[in-house]
Parts: sequence; C-alpha cells; structure tokens
Amino acid sequence: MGRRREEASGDAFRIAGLVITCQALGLIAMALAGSAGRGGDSSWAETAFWLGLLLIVGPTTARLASAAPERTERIILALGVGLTLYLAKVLIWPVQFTFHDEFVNWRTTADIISSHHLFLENPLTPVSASYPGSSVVTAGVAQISGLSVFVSGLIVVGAARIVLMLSLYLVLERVTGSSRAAGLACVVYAANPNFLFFDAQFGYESLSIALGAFLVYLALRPLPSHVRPALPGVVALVLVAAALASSHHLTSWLFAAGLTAAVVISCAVRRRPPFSLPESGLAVAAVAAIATAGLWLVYVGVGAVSYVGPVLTGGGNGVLHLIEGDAAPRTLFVSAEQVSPKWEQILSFGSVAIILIALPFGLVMVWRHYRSNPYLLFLGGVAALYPASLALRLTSTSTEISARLSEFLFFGVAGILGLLASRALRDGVGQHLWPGRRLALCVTVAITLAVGGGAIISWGRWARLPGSYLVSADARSVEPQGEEAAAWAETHLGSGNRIAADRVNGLLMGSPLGGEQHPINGLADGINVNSVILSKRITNSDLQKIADAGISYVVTDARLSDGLPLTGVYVNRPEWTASNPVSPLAAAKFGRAPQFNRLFDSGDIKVYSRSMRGWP
Amino acid sequence: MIRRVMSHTWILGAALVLLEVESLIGPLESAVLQAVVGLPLAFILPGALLGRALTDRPQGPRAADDLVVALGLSLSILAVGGVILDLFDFGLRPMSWVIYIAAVLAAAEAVRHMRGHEPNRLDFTFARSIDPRVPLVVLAVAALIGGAFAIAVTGAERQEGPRVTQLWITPRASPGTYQIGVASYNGQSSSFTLDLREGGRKVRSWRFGLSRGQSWQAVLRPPPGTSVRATLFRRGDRSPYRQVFIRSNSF
Repeated sequence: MGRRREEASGDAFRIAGLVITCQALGLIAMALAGSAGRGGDSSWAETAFWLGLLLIVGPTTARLASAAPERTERIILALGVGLTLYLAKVLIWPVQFTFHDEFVNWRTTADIISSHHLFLENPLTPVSASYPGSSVVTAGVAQISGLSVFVSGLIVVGAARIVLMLSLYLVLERVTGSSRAAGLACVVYAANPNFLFFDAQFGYESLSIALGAFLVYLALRPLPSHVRPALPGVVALVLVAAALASSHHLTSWLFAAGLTAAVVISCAVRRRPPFSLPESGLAVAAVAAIATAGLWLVYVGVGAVSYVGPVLTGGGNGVLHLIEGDAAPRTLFVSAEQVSPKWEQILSFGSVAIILIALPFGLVMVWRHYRSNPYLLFLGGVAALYPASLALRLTSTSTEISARLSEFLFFGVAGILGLLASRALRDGVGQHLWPGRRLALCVTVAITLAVGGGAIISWGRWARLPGSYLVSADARSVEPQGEEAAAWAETHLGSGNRIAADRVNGLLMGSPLGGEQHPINGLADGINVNSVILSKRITNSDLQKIADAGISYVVTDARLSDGLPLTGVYVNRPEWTASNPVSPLAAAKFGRAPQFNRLFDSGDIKVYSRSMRGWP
Repeated sequence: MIRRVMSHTWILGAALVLLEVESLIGPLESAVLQAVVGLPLAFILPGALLGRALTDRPQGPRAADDLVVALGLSLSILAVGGVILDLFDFGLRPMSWVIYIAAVLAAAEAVRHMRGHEPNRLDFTFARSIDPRVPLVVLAVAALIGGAFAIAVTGAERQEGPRVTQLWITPRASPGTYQIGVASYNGQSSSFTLDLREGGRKVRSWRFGLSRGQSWQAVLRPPPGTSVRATLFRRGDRSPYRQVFIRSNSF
C-alpha cells in the first residue's frame, strides 16, 4: 500500500512537472509570436500564438479535469494558467507600454512621482486621475525599489493577477466544496474576453478587479467557531474596500452591488439578519464597499458619472433602436473593412455556444442540488445575465458595455460551469456515451476552445500581435517614427503645451514619452478638434477653434490617409463614421496655410506652430 | 524574552526598513540593494504582518491563504497609503513611503501582541519535506521562462519599422535666434545637403553626413520680419526630403 502510494505520488509529480513545463513552453511560443509579428511574418506569428495558447491551457485543463491531483497541485496549476497567460501578454510586448490605457496610467503614475501628490489633471482620460489606486501602488513600488515605472507596473499587475487567481480559487473552493471545481473554474474564467489582454495591461482596472476578488475572499474566509469578527477583521475589510474604491469606478460599484446582493440572498436562504450570518464578514464587506465607493464618488471621483453615464445611455439607446428596428445590427468580426478569417469566426461562435449550452444545465444543477447554498444561487444569478449581455454586442454603442461586463459576469459563469464539469466527471455523467476518460477529454476540449474563443472575441485580430503600422490601431500604431516625434516634442517644446493631434500621436505626446503635452479632446476640454485634423481645408471656424482652445501646436500624420481607423476613430468620439480614408489634403493643408509655421518634419509626421499672420 | 515576544517576520521587516533607508540616503547607496530590499518591503511584509494581526488563519493547509493575504493586503496598504501621504505637504516620496511602511509594520506587530496571537516564526523545517526533485523542476521552468524573455526582449529591441530622419527649427530663448537641427535614425549612414532661404533668397548651404543616432545642429539669426525656410536633400537626390519654415520671423 505504501509502495503504491509512493508510485502514485511519483506519477503525480511527473505529470504535474510535465504540465508546468508545457506552460513554460507555451511562453516560449508566445515570445516567438511577438518576435515574428515584429519581423513581418504574420502567419508564423499567429501559428506560434495559437500553439502557445494551446500549450498553456490544454494540458493544464486536462490535468485539472482529472480526479488524481491533490489540492496543492490544483492550486499551483490554476495559479499557473492565470500567471502564464499574463506573462504571455508581457512577452508579446516586453519592453514598453503599448496599449491606450497603459499610456494614460503611465502619465498619472509619472505625475505622482514628479509632483509627490495625487489628482493632477490627466487630459488623456481625466477620470483616471480621480481613481489613482493602480498608479499610487506603482509609484510606491517604483519609489521604494528604484525600478522604472514600466518594470514596477509589470510587477504590480503580475501581483494583482496572482491575487485574482488565488482569491478566485479559494472562494470557489469554499463555495462549491470542491477543489476540482475551483481549479476548472479558474480556467473557465480565463475564457472571459478581457482576461488575456485588457485586464493584463497596466491599466486602472487590472488592479481593482483583483482587489474586488480579494475582498470577497476575505469576507468569506472561514473562521474558528469561537472567534467573532471583531474590530481587527473589520479594519482589514475596510482597508481593502477603500483600496478598491480608489482604484476603479465601475469595479467598485459592481462589487458593492454584488456583495449586497449576496448578503440579501444569504439572509433570505438562511433566514437570518445580515450580521448574524455564519460569514458575518460578508455583510461588513458589503457595507464597507458601499460606503467607500460612495464616499470616493462624492468627494473625489464625481467625474466618473459624466464619464460612464454617456456610455450607458448611449448603449441603452442603441439597443432600443435595434429592438424598434430603427438600426441594423453591427457587423461582427469586421474592423475598418478587415474581416476575421472564417475559422476564427467559427471558433468564437463555438466558444460562446459551448457556454450557452452548458449554462442551463449548470443553473438547473444549482437549483436542484444547491438551493440551500446562497453563494451558488448568487453565482447562478450572475451567470444567468451572461446570455443577455451578448445581445449588447449587436450595436456599436452598446458593445463596449458588453465587453466591460464580461470579466464580472464570468465570475458566475466560471463558478457554475466549473462545478457542473466537476460533478459530471465525479458522477460519470454520460458514461454510456463517453466511457472511460472521454468525458474528461470532452471537458478539456470544451474549456480550451472556450479560452481560444475568448482570445478571438477580446480584440480584433490586428490587435493581438505586433506588426507593421496600421492606421489608428493603438498598439499597432505605436512605432519608432511616432515615438521619436514624441521624444522630440519632449526635448524641444517642453511640457504641457496644448496640442491638436490624432488619437495615437496625441497619446504618445500626452504621455511622459512626449513631455506630457495636453492633447485637446472632448473628454478633458469639451472641445472637438476632429475637423482641424481631418478636413481638407482650413476654415475660419477651425482657426477660431484653435485660437479659443489655446492650441499652440498641431500635429499631423500623413499615414492617416492610408486606411480606415481600426479603432473606429482617427481623433476622438464623436467622429463621423468614415467609409473612405481621410484625404491626404487633411495633413497637407497646414503646409500651405499662412497661419502656420512648420517646426518639425520626419516625413509622415509634421508639427506646426501658429505663425504671426492671418488669425481671426 | 525578545525572541518570545517579537515575530521573526517583524524583525526581518525592521531590518529591511533599515536597509532601505541605507540604500536611499546612506553611504551604501545601491540600486540593486534598493530593488532587492524594496520589493519584499512593498509586496509581502506589510500584508503578511497586518494579515496575521487582523485576521485569523483558517484551519488546514495555509500556504495559498498566506500568500493571497500577504499580497492582497500589501497592495491595499500601498493604495490607501498613497491617499494618506497625499494629505501631507511632503507627499509621496521614497522616504515617506518607507516611514509609512515602518509604521504599518510596527502597528501590525502591536496589534498582534495585543490580540495574543503567536509571534510569526520563520520556520524553514518545511524545506526538509520538499521533494528533492522540486528544485530541479523549478530551475528548469525558470530557465525556460528566462529563455522566453530573452527571445522576446531581443526581438523587440530589433524592432522592424521605418527609421526616419528628422528636420526641425525651433525658437531659442534669445529673441530672434533659432535652432535648426537634423537627426538621423536610419539604419545606415546618410549624406545630406541643407539649404537655407531667408526672405525667399538662398543664403546658405551645409553638407554633412550622419550615422544612425547622430544629429547636426546650427544656430540661425535671420533678419527681423523675414521668412525662413530650410530644405533637406539627400545627397544625389534633387527632390526635397524634409522641409521646415517660419512664415515671418517676428523679431
């Protein structure tokens, strides 16, 4: 018996080692994908990317589906898949920030370090300066360790990813009573479209979602029966809730609402008042989350309402117009006339179909067998919202809402589907159809496909890997000519100048790379300079706008006329929906106008200042 | 007495605080020391000690719980700490962070002591129970990950993309003078001719060669009220390569 146990332990070690090695090999494939993309070999880059994803997710899921692993191994593998998928993003873009929100957060962090204080204006996204949690933590790490903001940011987001995965695992293990279900749920969570890139970037939401999950973990932590949740426990919950409230508006609001809903359900199921629940920390966490989020909104983050409000109302109106037949559905898988290949469309539909087919079985399972478990009821309720959220992807104004909700709804989807898979494997469901290990194989394939589909839905194909310059394509538009022009601005123009520029050059010049210029936009200034950048002629109205806005410099980029904008806008929303690329005259017009001097020429990018002549 | 009363982790934290101060202002200023000491001081110790003081450890295996509490509370301590430090004139500075963290460590140890929790012990006996193959696997995986980073960073630093030549003109602080410059980021050496026109009349021409990363600059003092136009040509090419201009020199 002892020898058999040793042999089983040895086998488990070998298999676990093999799985972890596959994860590491997956990272090598991701690194090769990034390098190949930069080198212009996009087909090999994509092959390496998908191979890497398969190596990271497939063997891990297969092992987690097995009954063999001990709890420790499940935790290591679940943490491993979350961390390696984060490192995949780091390896694809390893030396600098490249995503839009990363430049925004970089500016806020640099401002904190240079000024030693918070809440300096950030014209790139004004509301981000009011929710500086991520920037504060990164600034603190940079100042304490002496590391650069880039490296500190990577470490902070990596630490947040560890907190997120461990919190998710430990909460779901407690709620489901199954380490197998918790492990599988962690991989299902990785299928949420924002997991691979959006929540892995150096942005203000990446930290907040981890803090939210950690708050739930702390609130549900099992305590010895003789201990009461006295003041020290309350202090811990308030501390984390306060950190969450300072980090991101939507995340703090949604977690406050979710915790409240969980308390209400728990009270209803257990027929007890909130602070008499077995997990009394839950009610404390809900109160702390509501109080801190509310106080922060009132005293610091009031701008979040005007930032989030239009997105919600615009999305709602879009859905109403669609229902009433006044608008056609958005064409899926198309960005600026770039169409995703058929196999990607099939995979992404397939991954959604897998979830939609499995979800009803999971919800029925919860109702039949876990009706007395308030937390599974809560997770079921959250998961049930997922199908409705998909409808929001059918209009251009509401697709953003669906995208941003996914990482929250997937807490419910992951919990329910992880438990469903675990029960099916444990009970041998469908053994007559799938004898032996075939059910485990089916579960593995289904979850792996779901993660792959999530990666496709996340961002357009053009955004997943580096490559040649694309028009208004965020990371695919960040390249040496733009970076060098921004560096010139920082050296020769000083900082804080009000400029008119397109989306990407405005981002580069508004970041610390470009001297933190002030690109004029609707968000920060309520001024729309799209016509200044995009129209073929300079009108008196444009000149008046430049004068009224106090714009000192105009940045033009001739490459805008090479194609349609991949992100949907050349400059800022609202912008007319272009069916043809902007005219080359838009950039060239300043060269003929007597009102402008040309200070800088790097071929495509030119910088103009205001001359002494011809102004209204 | 001290060993019975004080946690090993608190003693370690105090030592790291002192080392951090040393790395910031002492004669042993060292970027490496600052990073090695600063990271656990920021990410692990505050959360670990405060977690031990404020919460009660669950029964059973605790490593995952200990790690998530240490990291999660450390991140929260930093986030909230920044808001607290912002209230003071000195604000968020390296030394103020260190003082704040030291205060958190001291408060955590005091609360732990008041609650009667056992002092944290750095117990390495678990190392005896680790399978001897584990360090080998860890090393192998670390080597693979290190290799991945080497591939990624090397590839990124050799990034393809058009490297261009810049031409610029900017006013200098002294009225009526301008700085004109050319910077080359091209992969190979290039030869240029720069023609300068003032008031429409060609007044000067320069010829020079630049390798990648090199730049050339000159100072101009055009007559007041005249326009200035500089055109850069690549050697042997008659079409303008780059052009900058000032419509009317205001001085």
